[in-house]
Amino acid sequence: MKKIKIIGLYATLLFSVVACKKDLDINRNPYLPSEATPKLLLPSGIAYSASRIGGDIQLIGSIWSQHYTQNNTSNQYRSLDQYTVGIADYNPIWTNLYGGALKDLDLAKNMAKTAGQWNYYLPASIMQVFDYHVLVDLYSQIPYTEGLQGDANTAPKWEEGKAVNTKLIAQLDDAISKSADAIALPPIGTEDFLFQGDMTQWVKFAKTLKLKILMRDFAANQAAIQQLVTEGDLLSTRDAKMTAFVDLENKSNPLYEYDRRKLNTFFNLKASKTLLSYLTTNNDPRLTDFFEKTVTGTYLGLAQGDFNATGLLANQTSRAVLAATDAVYFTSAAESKFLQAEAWARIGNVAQAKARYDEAVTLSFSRWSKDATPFIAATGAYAFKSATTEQMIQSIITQKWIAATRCQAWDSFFDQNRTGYPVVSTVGPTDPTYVPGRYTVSVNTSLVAGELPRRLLYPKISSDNNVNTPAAVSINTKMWWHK
Amino acid sequence: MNKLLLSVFVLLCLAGNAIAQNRTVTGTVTSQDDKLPIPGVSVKLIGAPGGVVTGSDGKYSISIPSNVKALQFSFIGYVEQIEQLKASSTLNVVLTTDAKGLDEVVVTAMGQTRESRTLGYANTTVKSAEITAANNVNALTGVQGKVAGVSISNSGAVGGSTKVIIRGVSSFTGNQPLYIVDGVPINDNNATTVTATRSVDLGNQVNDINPDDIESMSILKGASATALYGSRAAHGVIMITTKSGKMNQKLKVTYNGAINFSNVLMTTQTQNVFGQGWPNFAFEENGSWGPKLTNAVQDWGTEVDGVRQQKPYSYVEDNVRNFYETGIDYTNQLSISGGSEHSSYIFSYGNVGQRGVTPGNIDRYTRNNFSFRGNSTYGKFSSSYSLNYVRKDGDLIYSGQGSADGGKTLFQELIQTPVDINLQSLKDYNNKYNNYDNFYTLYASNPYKVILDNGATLQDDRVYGKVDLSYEIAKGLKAVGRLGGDFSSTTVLDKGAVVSYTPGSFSALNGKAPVTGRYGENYRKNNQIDATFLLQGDYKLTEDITLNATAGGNYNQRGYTSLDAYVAGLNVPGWYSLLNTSGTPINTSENVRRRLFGAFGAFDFGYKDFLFVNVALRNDWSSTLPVNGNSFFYSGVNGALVLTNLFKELASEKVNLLKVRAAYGKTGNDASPYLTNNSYQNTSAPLSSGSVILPLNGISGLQHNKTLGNQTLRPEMTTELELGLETRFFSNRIGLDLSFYNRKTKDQIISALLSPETGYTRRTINVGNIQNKGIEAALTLVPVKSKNFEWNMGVNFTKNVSKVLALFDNVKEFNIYSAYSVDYVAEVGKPLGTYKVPQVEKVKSGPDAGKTIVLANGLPKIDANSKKEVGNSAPDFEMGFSNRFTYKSFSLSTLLDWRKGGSFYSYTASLNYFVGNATNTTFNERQPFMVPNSVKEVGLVNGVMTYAENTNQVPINTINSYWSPSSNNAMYENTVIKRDYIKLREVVLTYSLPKTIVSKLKLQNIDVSLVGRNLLLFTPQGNNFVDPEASNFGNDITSNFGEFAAGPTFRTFGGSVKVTF
Repeated sequence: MKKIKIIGLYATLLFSVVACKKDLDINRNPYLPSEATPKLLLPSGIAYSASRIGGDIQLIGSIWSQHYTQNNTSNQYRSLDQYTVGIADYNPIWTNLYGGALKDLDLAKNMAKTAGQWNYYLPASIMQVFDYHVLVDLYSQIPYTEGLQGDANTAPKWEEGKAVNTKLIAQLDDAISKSADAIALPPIGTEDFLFQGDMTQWVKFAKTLKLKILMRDFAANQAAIQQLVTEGDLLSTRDAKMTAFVDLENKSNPLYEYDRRKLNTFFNLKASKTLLSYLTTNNDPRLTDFFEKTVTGTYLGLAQGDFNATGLLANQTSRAVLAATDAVYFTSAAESKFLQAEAWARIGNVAQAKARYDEAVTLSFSRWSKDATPFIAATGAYAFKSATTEQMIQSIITQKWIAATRCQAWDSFFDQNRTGYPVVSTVGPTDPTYVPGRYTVSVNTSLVAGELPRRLLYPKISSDNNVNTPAAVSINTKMWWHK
Repeated sequence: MNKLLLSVFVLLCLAGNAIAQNRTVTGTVTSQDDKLPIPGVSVKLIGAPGGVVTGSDGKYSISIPSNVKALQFSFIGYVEQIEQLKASSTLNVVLTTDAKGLDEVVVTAMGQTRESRTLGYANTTVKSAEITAANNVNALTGVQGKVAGVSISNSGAVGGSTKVIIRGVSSFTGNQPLYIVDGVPINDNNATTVTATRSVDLGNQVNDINPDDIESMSILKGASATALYGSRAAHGVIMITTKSGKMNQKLKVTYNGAINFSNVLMTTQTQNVFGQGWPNFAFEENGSWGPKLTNAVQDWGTEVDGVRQQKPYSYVEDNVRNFYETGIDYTNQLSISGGSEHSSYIFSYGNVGQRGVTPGNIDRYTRNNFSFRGNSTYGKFSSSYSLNYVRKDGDLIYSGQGSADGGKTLFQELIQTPVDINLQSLKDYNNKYNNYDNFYTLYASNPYKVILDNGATLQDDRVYGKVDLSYEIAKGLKAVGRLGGDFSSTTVLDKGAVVSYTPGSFSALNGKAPVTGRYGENYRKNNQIDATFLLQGDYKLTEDITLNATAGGNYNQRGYTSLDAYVAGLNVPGWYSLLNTSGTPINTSENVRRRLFGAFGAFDFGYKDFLFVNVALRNDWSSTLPVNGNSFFYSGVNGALVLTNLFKELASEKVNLLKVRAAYGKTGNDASPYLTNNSYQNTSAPLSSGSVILPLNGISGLQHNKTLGNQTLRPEMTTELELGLETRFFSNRIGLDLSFYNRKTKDQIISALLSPETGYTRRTINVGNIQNKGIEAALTLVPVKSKNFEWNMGVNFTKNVSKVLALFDNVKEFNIYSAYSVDYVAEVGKPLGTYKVPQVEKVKSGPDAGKTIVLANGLPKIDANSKKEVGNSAPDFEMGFSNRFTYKSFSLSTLLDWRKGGSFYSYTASLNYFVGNATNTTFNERQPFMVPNSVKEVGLVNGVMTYAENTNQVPINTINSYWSPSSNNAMYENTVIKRDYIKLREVVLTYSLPKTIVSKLKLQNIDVSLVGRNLLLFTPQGNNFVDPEASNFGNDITSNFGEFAAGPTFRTFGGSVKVTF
């Protein structure tokens, strides 16, 4: 009897354990969906791209393009201004572009491809190329083919920038080839933060991007470049930008959100003498759009990197103007025109170069509701100088540098690396022989005399976890397309 | 409850029956202690087989054969007694307790009771008197420094977390032990969110237990001891037995009241040579990088209406200490117990109030505990139950760096005050010089106002309890069913006031960032249901071999739901509502559930009275593991050999006990919920600070979860070998308990970093193998023992050495936590938790090899590629020294706690260096100097860097940059400081009022105590910053990392009175 009881109890126990197997299948978070669609992933990918490109990449670009410099009574961005950015700094660029933007776009792209939703495929793929292009120009080498595969490949191989660029062109061509199919579909809506579903603009954006990438090696790509600028199906009126920002916490322009809303002092970004001297010398009306007046109603900048300057209170130097609703620019129409001008200049067609240059300067003035006419007039301060190819390029890149302020500052950093304009001054900004607008080496540089930063270091977050991450290269090492 | 179980146990062990009879003797067995009857006392005939057991009323009745002349009375925990039979048929016996006897009874896994000598593993039991002696508001701090192998520390904040680490950290998440109260697990959640900006310590749930309810606490350390408790016991088990009423006991009332006053134990020692400025004297600076102090009266602070205030430019002594006030805490404990023939009950009420040292009535904490417990026995059926309600209320202040919407935090603002500015002069925060508009510095805010403006309110209700039923199915076989439940509901409100500046005021003109204001509500509900069914049998297999077998099953479900909503940026200052925003609240909600089924068996064999072997087996099925791999099995075996029983001739008055132990065990640990699958979530792209959160303009988005799920996840497994020796000499006057253990934990479940180019940043994987080897020793001494005077000493020693044996793939280093550039890592071949900081770059080769490279500004160049290891968080050893003198009714006990070795990260130190308050920053009188043994870079020649002797001084106005970790990253080395300390943890003087006086008052007992806690603290040179125990990183592995502008810890003085009616 006793034994039967015991056996009975054990049997019950065993049975209940087996029966409860199903009760153990509860390991999914009920609040998180396990499926998504391109309609939801595309805006995520674009917002992620904007968060970094319009956030810290814009910040790095603004300081290294000498639009802005670190305020002397605070110290948030000193490492940028003394060129001591280490392998662990700015890793979130890498983390959130690869782990956020690129993967979301990849998921959207693949889902769209399977479902034949070419109107999602096109923007997702082009946006991806854009992000890759910024990364490759910042780091020189990046993982491309083997990336984004999760634990199927935890150590993606890095590829040389030149090789990546070729693959990016191919990816753009693939996207462009789907344009007819995409246009034929019912238009997608405002989840396309850039062009609200206008596929023809996406094609223009793709082609402009293609031109930009090809221009990294003009000599090798001249035929393709000439074909693109001749065809002219490039961004000309609309900017590739994200404008959805509003003046609310966590909904604003990324640089504004971080620099103005989240830091304990919002006086960190000050006018660099480099840009300010150029604007004031030329009476450029965009001055008021870029910098604030000091407490005395004038404009005063700090020498680039002079964060130890004494005797100047925060309100005695000009702060950078930023707004919560500022758009994040990926490629402006002005940039497209400057690119075309440069291409024509290098091809040797002065008339085309001047025409595109004038359009570009006009666009970059009208962005701030300013009139460029007197400036590009033959006697104007920014008149196109066309005596030599080099002169044309200097005119174009210098104006592109101004236009990049509060817009695509990072692009101007790439341009200076590529073309050497603005020229690096051999004297400091206080020297009587200083030419306004020339780059000056940071007062507090950590580099050998005359050197400037050229790249970001391979991020620690990658080198720690990927055996294929290349060995460290110093911050002032030039890339293959650098001048 | 104990005695009852014991009586059952004893009854079952007894063999034999009554034989021929002559006459009957009856009597009552009572305890000398409380004069109450003792049920279950074994009454044996001497000279003949047979015996009986006293009933629940302590009465017995036994038939005496003619040849029997004496009776033997024995009961676990009491001195065995032999009584000669006399003519009378009544024989009443009074048993005396065996204080440190061989027969100490301990609670082991699954609520069983065992004699400690039969255990094959280290077990430490702490009694109620020790736990409550020093009026600690929570139970675990009462055990601090008292048990070898158990490291306990408390964050210091009112209501703050208590960290308990048993035998070292072995897991990357969750190293806290499992708490079992009267056989049923309780929750020990800690809702504290650890952030560097703004965090408040909400405490962990084990602190909810009323210390006065505790009868004893048994600490199971090794894997073999805990195997039966399943996956949650991988980091040890703390078994708490609560006080219970006794059967046949008249109403007993006790009151225990205590009041304590506290002040700050340690504040940072600041330099006293240089005053305000950065690097020149400046009115608006928040640091001490200015000129030398002159003691001259001069202008300071902002100019208001054209006038500045004046004060001497001199060092303010004890500035931060004087900022704080005296804190107070009190406890009131009332218990009522009683019992009838079949049942007993106890009702208790505990009331704890704490007010921290922050000026004003800012940080407060109250806890009210109501508990009703009881048990009943009717024949073969017995039951016990408990129902507890805990209510907590707190007003808490934030620590960390502060945020743009929530405002500043107190500790951060205190640290960055120039050494010449008297904090107390800022007290009147409405004063035109001290208000937000004109506060003297742009970079900090008035600490007196900050604490009023920003804070959190906590409210917590918790109900937990259990029902335990047992039925004796047959002789020696018992069925037990236990059902426990634990439900709590927490509300945390978070307020940060809007701060704006009058246009034209100093702050406005100089661009001081306003605070946009913040309000948040967080609701969290925790729940746990635990059901256990088991069969327990006692068998005598042969004359010499006994077997106690247990088999059963366990069901456990735990989870929580939470809803968190906040608005950042308040439209209307002072109105704290989720509606007060021009945007929408940011909401997150969670619903986390986990289930576990377990089947277990335990077999205790006893051979004669000297060999005891225990085998424990368990299989778990956990919902947190992949459905097809959710079952895991583990086991433990341990043995005890009592040499003094095996070789009787060894035993003598001088040698009382020699026992060796050996144990080998394995325990498994499952994962956290929701780590097996991939998912999507609402898009929130993080910025360096802040985010871009969708929806934007009505467009919502989903992002992939950046952590990859894992469908092949395995449980974490710990195997442990433990050897031990237990000895007692000279009538138990000397006792030594030694343990050696070697524990290896492998397959820790972590969220490992993935290189982001894979599209993910983390993946959940099994990693590594971490070894913890250690020695634990507990020595007890009674140097003097006489009628009136007794001297007791105790020393416990713990040495744990951890080593990361392996990580995963080719990864040699895993980052556990980082603050700024200080990484806290697990590195293969090193102890778990080493610190890595940036280092200066040295010339790698050539004639200058090994020299430091200096930049143009005189500061050393930082090596961009590798970091330097600067110690680890584990102490070399920990020791506790306890001492007690008892003279008649007086007793004086002290407890000293010594931790040697180890390091910790201190943001307090970091910030003191940054603002020039650290004593080291007066090096070289702050005159320009050159980094020794250094070179400067000249330029590349054929792609190779050339160097020249360094001529770049650190100029006078860059001295501050040299010392500041943020501008000279090599200085992060100074932020990892020594963790050593010696603390005079407790001093307790108790006087028991003479019985003559007490009985006149119609009372049973009055004890009066004077208590001091944490009276003295010694820290080594190198740490004149902060108490190494202070942490605001919660209570698990990240809290070993260090502190981030943590609040101070306290020194406490007080008194208590304990009355028994």
